[in-house]
Amino acid sequence: MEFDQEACIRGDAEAWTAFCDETIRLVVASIRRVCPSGRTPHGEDMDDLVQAVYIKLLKNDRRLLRNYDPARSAVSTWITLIARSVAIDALRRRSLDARPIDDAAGAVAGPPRTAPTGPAIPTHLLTARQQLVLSMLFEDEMDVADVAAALGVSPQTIRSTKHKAMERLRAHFQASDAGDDPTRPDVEPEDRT
Amino acid sequence: MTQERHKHDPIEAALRAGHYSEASPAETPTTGDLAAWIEAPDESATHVEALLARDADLRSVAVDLRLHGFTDGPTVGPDLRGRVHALMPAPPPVLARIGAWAAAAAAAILLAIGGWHLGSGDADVRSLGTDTVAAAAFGVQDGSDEYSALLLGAQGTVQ
Repeated sequence: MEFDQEACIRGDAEAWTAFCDETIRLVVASIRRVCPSGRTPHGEDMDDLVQAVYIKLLKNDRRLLRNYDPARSAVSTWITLIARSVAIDALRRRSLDARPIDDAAGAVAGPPRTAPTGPAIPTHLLTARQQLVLSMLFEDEMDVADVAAALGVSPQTIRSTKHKAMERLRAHFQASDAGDDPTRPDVEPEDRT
Repeated sequence: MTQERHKHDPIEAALRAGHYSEASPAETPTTGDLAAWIEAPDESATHVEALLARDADLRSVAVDLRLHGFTDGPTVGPDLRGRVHALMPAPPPVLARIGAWAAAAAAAILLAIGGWHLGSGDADVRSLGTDTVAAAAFGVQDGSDEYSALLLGAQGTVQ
Protein backbone atom coordinates (compact mmCIF):
# COMPACT_ATOMS: atom_id res chain seq x y z
CA MET A 1 0.00 0.00 0.00
CA GLU A 2 1.61 3.23 -1.15
CA PHE A 3 0.49 6.73 -1.85
CA ASP A 4 1.91 9.94 -3.29
CA GLN A 5 2.63 11.68 -0.03
CA GLU A 6 4.10 14.83 -1.55
CA ALA A 7 1.16 15.31 -3.87
CA CYS A 8 -1.31 14.92 -1.03
CA ILE A 9 0.60 17.47 1.04
CA ARG A 10 0.54 19.87 -1.92
CA GLY A 11 -3.22 19.51 -2.05
CA ASP A 12 -3.45 17.47 -5.23
CA ALA A 13 -7.06 16.32 -5.31
CA GLU A 14 -6.37 13.33 -7.53
CA ALA A 15 -3.61 12.04 -5.26
CA TRP A 16 -5.88 12.55 -2.26
CA THR A 17 -8.70 10.63 -3.92
CA ALA A 18 -6.35 7.76 -4.70
CA PHE A 19 -5.05 7.73 -1.13
CA CYS A 20 -8.56 7.68 0.30
CA ASP A 21 -9.67 4.86 -1.97
CA GLU A 22 -6.57 2.87 -1.04
CA THR A 23 -7.01 3.22 2.72
CA ILE A 24 -10.71 3.62 3.43
CA ARG A 25 -11.54 -0.06 3.89
CA LEU A 26 -8.73 -0.41 6.39
CA VAL A 27 -9.97 2.67 8.24
CA VAL A 28 -13.48 1.24 8.42
CA ALA A 29 -12.16 -2.09 9.71
CA SER A 30 -10.01 -0.36 12.31
CA ILE A 31 -12.89 1.71 13.64
CA ARG A 32 -15.18 -1.31 13.70
CA ARG A 33 -12.59 -3.13 15.81
CA VAL A 34 -13.01 -0.46 18.49
CA CYS A 35 -16.74 0.17 17.92
CA PRO A 36 -18.17 -3.17 16.82
CA SER A 37 -21.70 -1.75 16.68
CA GLY A 38 -20.59 0.82 14.14
CA ARG A 39 -21.83 3.59 16.37
CA THR A 40 -20.52 5.44 19.40
CA PRO A 41 -22.69 5.69 22.52
CA HIS A 42 -23.51 9.34 21.81
CA GLY A 43 -24.66 8.99 18.25
CA GLU A 44 -21.67 9.27 15.98
CA ASP A 45 -21.95 6.70 13.26
CA MET A 46 -19.30 4.91 11.27
CA ASP A 47 -19.32 7.46 8.46
CA ASP A 48 -18.72 10.31 10.89
CA LEU A 49 -15.77 8.53 12.43
CA VAL A 50 -14.27 7.64 9.07
CA GLN A 51 -14.57 11.25 7.98
CA ALA A 52 -13.00 12.34 11.27
CA VAL A 53 -9.94 10.21 10.50
CA TYR A 54 -9.31 11.94 7.18
CA ILE A 55 -10.04 15.36 8.66
CA LYS A 56 -7.40 14.64 11.25
CA LEU A 57 -4.89 13.92 8.50
CA LEU A 58 -5.55 17.32 6.94
CA LYS A 59 -5.66 19.35 10.14
CA ASN A 60 -2.96 21.86 11.06
CA ASP A 61 -1.68 22.23 7.52
CA ARG A 62 -1.71 18.46 6.91
CA ARG A 63 0.65 17.90 9.82
CA LEU A 64 0.10 14.15 10.13
CA LEU A 65 0.58 13.67 6.40
CA ARG A 66 3.78 15.73 6.49
CA ASN A 67 5.18 13.83 9.47
CA TYR A 68 4.54 10.35 8.11
CA ASP A 69 7.85 8.61 7.51
CA PRO A 70 7.56 5.56 5.22
CA ALA A 71 10.99 4.38 6.43
CA ARG A 72 9.64 3.82 9.94
CA SER A 73 6.33 2.10 9.30
CA ALA A 74 4.02 0.95 6.58
CA VAL A 75 1.04 3.05 5.56
CA SER A 76 -1.31 0.34 6.81
CA THR A 77 0.16 0.44 10.34
CA TRP A 78 0.16 4.22 10.43
CA ILE A 79 -3.38 4.74 9.17
CA THR A 80 -4.74 1.91 11.34
CA LEU A 81 -3.23 3.48 14.43
CA ILE A 82 -4.74 6.87 13.59
CA ALA A 83 -8.15 5.34 12.88
CA ARG A 84 -8.22 3.41 16.14
CA SER A 85 -7.06 6.46 18.08
CA VAL A 86 -9.91 8.50 16.60
CA ALA A 87 -12.39 5.81 17.59
CA ILE A 88 -10.99 5.57 21.11
CA ASP A 89 -11.10 9.35 21.48
CA ALA A 90 -14.74 9.33 20.38
CA LEU A 91 -15.59 6.73 23.01
CA ARG A 92 -13.66 8.59 25.69
CA ARG A 93 -15.44 11.86 24.93
CA ARG A 94 -18.66 10.21 25.99
CA SER A 95 -17.19 8.94 29.23
CA LEU A 96 -16.22 12.51 30.13
CA ASP A 97 -19.72 13.92 29.50
CA ALA A 98 -21.97 14.54 32.48
CA ARG A 99 -24.21 11.59 33.02
CA PRO A 100 -27.92 12.34 32.68
CA ILE A 101 -29.88 12.44 35.88
CA ASP A 102 -32.26 9.81 34.62
CA ASP A 103 -29.66 7.39 33.34
CA ALA A 104 -31.59 4.19 33.45
CA ALA A 105 -31.03 3.60 29.76
CA GLY A 106 -28.36 6.16 29.09
CA ALA A 107 -25.57 4.92 31.31
CA VAL A 108 -22.77 3.81 29.09
CA ALA A 109 -19.67 4.23 31.21
CA GLY A 110 -20.79 2.23 34.22
CA PRO A 111 -20.50 3.43 37.80
CA PRO A 112 -17.78 5.96 38.49
CA ARG A 113 -14.49 4.32 39.39
CA THR A 114 -13.43 4.81 42.96
CA ALA A 115 -9.89 5.76 43.71
CA PRO A 116 -7.86 2.58 44.29
CA THR A 117 -6.70 1.98 47.81
CA GLY A 118 -3.46 0.41 48.90
CA PRO A 119 0.05 1.10 47.70
CA ALA A 120 0.75 2.87 44.45
CA ILE A 121 3.38 1.30 42.27
CA PRO A 122 6.37 3.66 42.24
CA THR A 123 7.13 3.98 38.56
CA HIS A 124 10.58 5.41 39.09
CA LEU A 125 11.72 1.99 40.34
CA LEU A 126 10.89 0.21 37.12
CA THR A 127 12.07 0.50 33.55
CA ALA A 128 9.49 1.25 30.87
CA ARG A 129 9.74 -2.35 29.65
CA GLN A 130 9.15 -3.68 33.16
CA GLN A 131 6.12 -1.43 33.58
CA LEU A 132 4.74 -2.58 30.26
CA VAL A 133 5.26 -6.27 31.02
CA LEU A 134 3.61 -5.95 34.42
CA SER A 135 0.69 -4.02 32.90
CA MET A 136 0.13 -6.71 30.32
CA LEU A 137 0.42 -9.57 32.82
CA PHE A 138 -1.58 -8.12 35.69
CA GLU A 139 -3.87 -5.42 34.34
CA ASP A 140 -4.66 -7.09 31.04
CA GLU A 141 -4.31 -10.62 32.48
CA MET A 142 -2.44 -11.82 29.43
CA ASP A 143 -0.57 -15.11 29.25
CA VAL A 144 3.20 -15.06 29.34
CA ALA A 145 3.21 -16.55 25.84
CA ASP A 146 0.99 -13.78 24.46
CA VAL A 147 3.04 -11.07 26.13
CA ALA A 148 6.19 -12.61 24.66
CA ALA A 149 4.62 -12.74 21.19
CA ALA A 150 3.41 -9.15 21.44
CA LEU A 151 6.84 -7.89 22.47
CA GLY A 152 8.78 -10.12 20.11
CA VAL A 153 10.82 -11.86 22.81
CA SER A 154 10.94 -15.31 24.37
CA PRO A 155 8.60 -16.34 27.22
CA GLN A 156 11.64 -16.84 29.43
CA THR A 157 12.59 -13.21 28.88
CA ILE A 158 9.13 -12.17 30.04
CA ARG A 159 9.37 -14.32 33.17
CA SER A 160 12.77 -12.88 33.93
CA THR A 161 11.56 -9.30 33.39
CA LYS A 162 8.60 -9.92 35.68
CA HIS A 163 10.75 -11.52 38.35
CA LYS A 164 13.23 -8.65 38.43
CA ALA A 165 10.46 -6.05 38.54
CA MET A 166 8.63 -7.80 41.34
CA GLU A 167 11.85 -8.15 43.32
CA ARG A 168 12.41 -4.42 43.08
CA LEU A 169 8.90 -3.65 44.17
CA ARG A 170 8.91 -6.08 47.07
CA ALA A 171 12.26 -4.79 48.27
CA HIS A 172 10.92 -1.26 48.11
CA PHE A 173 7.74 -2.00 50.04
CA GLN A 174 9.52 -4.18 52.58
CA ALA A 175 11.98 -1.39 53.25
CA SER A 176 9.20 1.17 53.59
CA ASP A 177 7.18 -1.15 55.87
CA ALA A 178 10.13 -2.09 58.11
CA GLY A 179 9.14 -1.65 61.74
CA ASP A 180 5.46 -1.12 61.06
CA ASP A 181 4.42 -4.73 61.49
CA PRO A 182 7.06 -7.04 62.95
CA THR A 183 4.70 -10.03 62.97
CA ARG A 184 4.20 -9.85 59.21
CA PRO A 185 6.14 -12.67 57.54
CA ASP A 186 8.57 -11.45 54.96
CA VAL A 187 9.84 -14.72 53.57
CA GLU A 188 8.84 -15.73 50.08
CA PRO A 189 6.44 -18.68 49.91
CA GLU A 190 8.95 -20.74 47.97
CA ASP A 191 11.45 -20.36 50.82
CA ARG A 192 9.17 -22.12 53.26
CA THR A 193 9.98 -25.73 53.99
CA MET B 1 -1.46 -21.08 51.25
CA THR B 2 0.88 -19.79 48.63
CA GLN B 3 -1.99 -18.86 46.36
CA GLU B 4 -3.87 -17.27 49.22
CA ARG B 5 -0.91 -15.05 50.02
CA HIS B 6 -0.62 -13.90 46.42
CA LYS B 7 -4.35 -13.35 46.24
CA HIS B 8 -4.09 -10.76 48.98
CA ASP B 9 -0.75 -9.38 47.86
CA PRO B 10 -1.21 -5.60 47.87
CA ILE B 11 1.48 -5.17 45.23
CA GLU B 12 -0.26 -7.51 42.82
CA ALA B 13 -3.57 -5.86 43.65
CA ALA B 14 -2.11 -2.47 42.78
CA LEU B 15 -0.70 -3.89 39.54
CA ARG B 16 -4.08 -5.34 38.57
CA ALA B 17 -5.73 -2.02 39.28
CA GLY B 18 -3.10 -0.11 37.33
CA HIS B 19 -2.48 1.95 40.42
CA TYR B 20 0.72 3.82 39.71
CA SER B 21 2.27 6.74 41.50
CA GLU B 22 2.44 10.00 39.62
CA ALA B 23 5.34 9.89 37.21
CA SER B 24 7.21 12.85 35.85
CA PRO B 25 6.01 13.78 32.35
CA ALA B 26 7.85 11.74 29.78
CA GLU B 27 8.49 12.62 26.18
CA THR B 28 5.24 12.15 24.30
CA PRO B 29 5.63 9.74 21.41
CA THR B 30 4.38 10.71 17.98
CA THR B 31 2.08 8.64 15.83
CA GLY B 32 5.16 7.68 13.85
CA ASP B 33 6.91 6.49 17.01
CA LEU B 34 3.95 4.32 17.95
CA ALA B 35 3.58 2.92 14.45
CA ALA B 36 7.29 2.07 14.33
CA TRP B 37 7.05 0.32 17.70
CA ILE B 38 4.03 -1.70 16.59
CA GLU B 39 5.99 -2.97 13.59
CA ALA B 40 9.06 -3.78 15.68
CA PRO B 41 8.86 -3.44 19.48
CA ASP B 42 11.98 -1.71 20.68
CA GLU B 43 12.88 -1.72 24.35
CA SER B 44 14.95 1.42 23.86
CA ALA B 45 11.80 3.33 22.82
CA THR B 46 11.14 4.00 26.49
CA HIS B 47 8.74 6.88 25.86
CA VAL B 48 6.54 4.61 23.76
CA GLU B 49 6.60 1.73 26.23
CA ALA B 50 5.96 4.06 29.17
CA LEU B 51 2.88 5.44 27.38
CA LEU B 52 1.63 1.95 26.54
CA ALA B 53 2.13 0.89 30.16
CA ARG B 54 -0.15 3.76 31.24
CA ASP B 55 -2.79 3.77 28.54
CA ALA B 56 -4.84 0.58 28.57
CA ASP B 57 -6.79 1.49 25.43
CA LEU B 58 -3.72 2.28 23.39
CA ARG B 59 -2.01 -0.81 24.73
CA SER B 60 -4.97 -2.88 23.63
CA VAL B 61 -4.67 -1.45 20.11
CA ALA B 62 -0.94 -2.13 19.97
CA VAL B 63 -1.25 -5.69 21.29
CA ASP B 64 -4.15 -6.45 18.98
CA LEU B 65 -2.20 -5.27 15.95
CA ARG B 66 0.90 -7.17 17.07
CA LEU B 67 -0.95 -10.42 17.66
CA HIS B 68 -3.66 -10.33 15.00
CA GLY B 69 -2.42 -7.99 12.32
CA PHE B 70 -4.68 -5.98 10.01
CA THR B 71 -8.02 -6.83 8.56
CA ASP B 72 -9.58 -5.18 5.56
CA GLY B 73 -13.08 -3.86 5.93
CA PRO B 74 -16.19 -4.22 3.82
CA THR B 75 -16.71 -2.43 0.53
CA VAL B 76 -17.38 1.25 1.08
CA GLY B 77 -20.28 2.97 -0.68
CA PRO B 78 -19.96 5.98 -2.97
CA ASP B 79 -21.54 8.40 -0.47
CA LEU B 80 -18.86 7.91 2.13
CA ARG B 81 -16.13 7.92 -0.48
CA GLY B 82 -17.52 11.18 -1.84
CA ARG B 83 -17.55 12.76 1.62
CA VAL B 84 -13.94 11.86 2.18
CA HIS B 85 -12.82 12.89 -1.32
CA ALA B 86 -14.48 16.27 -0.88
CA LEU B 87 -12.29 17.08 2.09
CA MET B 88 -9.61 18.05 -0.42
CA PRO B 89 -11.28 20.50 -2.85
CA ALA B 90 -10.50 20.12 -6.52
CA PRO B 91 -8.64 23.07 -8.08
CA PRO B 92 -10.53 25.35 -10.56
CA PRO B 93 -10.09 24.72 -14.31
CA VAL B 94 -6.80 25.88 -15.87
CA LEU B 95 -8.30 28.74 -17.90
CA ALA B 96 -10.16 30.02 -14.89
CA ARG B 97 -6.93 30.03 -12.90
CA ILE B 98 -5.06 31.88 -15.64
CA GLY B 99 -7.91 34.36 -15.99
CA ALA B 100 -7.92 35.05 -12.26
CA TRP B 101 -4.18 35.66 -12.21
CA ALA B 102 -4.40 37.92 -15.29
CA ALA B 103 -7.20 39.96 -13.74
CA ALA B 104 -5.27 40.37 -10.54
CA ALA B 105 -2.13 41.42 -12.41
CA ALA B 106 -4.04 43.94 -14.55
CA ALA B 107 -5.69 45.43 -11.49
CA ALA B 108 -2.35 45.77 -9.78
CA ILE B 109 -0.85 47.53 -12.82
CA LEU B 110 -3.78 49.91 -13.10
CA LEU B 111 -3.55 50.76 -9.44
CA ALA B 112 0.15 51.40 -9.75
CA ILE B 113 -0.29 53.70 -12.77
CA GLY B 114 -3.15 55.56 -11.18
CA GLY B 115 -1.28 55.99 -7.99
CA TRP B 116 1.76 57.27 -9.79
CA HIS B 117 -0.29 59.83 -11.70
CA LEU B 118 -2.07 61.05 -8.63
CA GLY B 119 1.10 61.25 -6.67
CA SER B 120 3.16 63.04 -9.33
CA GLY B 121 0.41 65.59 -10.20
CA ASP B 122 -0.28 66.53 -6.59
CA ALA B 123 3.40 66.86 -5.86
CA ASP B 124 3.88 69.41 -8.67
CA VAL B 125 0.90 71.53 -7.68
CA ARG B 126 1.63 71.38 -4.01
CA SER B 127 5.30 72.16 -4.26
CA LEU B 128 4.74 74.93 -6.78
CA GLY B 129 2.17 76.63 -4.69
CA THR B 130 4.12 76.24 -1.51
CA ASP B 131 7.34 77.43 -3.03
CA THR B 132 5.62 80.43 -4.68
CA VAL B 133 4.55 81.60 -1.26
CA ALA B 134 8.00 80.88 0.08
CA ALA B 135 9.64 82.79 -2.74
CA ALA B 136 7.30 85.76 -2.38
CA ALA B 137 7.61 85.91 1.38
CA PHE B 138 11.18 84.94 2.00
CA GLY B 139 12.87 84.97 -1.35
CA VAL B 140 13.57 81.25 -1.00
CA GLN B 141 13.56 79.22 -4.16
CA ASP B 142 14.97 76.07 -5.75
CA GLY B 143 18.12 76.64 -7.80
CA SER B 144 17.09 74.81 -11.01
CA ASP B 145 16.18 76.92 -14.06
CA GLU B 146 13.10 74.96 -14.84
CA TYR B 147 11.91 75.24 -11.34
CA SER B 148 12.56 79.00 -11.36
CA ALA B 149 10.61 79.37 -14.57
CA LEU B 150 7.66 77.57 -13.04
CA LEU B 151 7.89 79.77 -10.00
CA LEU B 152 8.06 83.00 -12.01
CA GLY B 153 5.10 81.86 -14.02
CA ALA B 154 3.17 81.12 -10.86
CA GLN B 155 4.10 84.43 -9.36
CA GLY B 156 2.93 86.17 -12.48
CA THR B 157 -0.30 84.21 -12.35
CA VAL B 158 -0.72 85.08 -8.72
CA GLN B 159 -0.42 88.68 -9.48
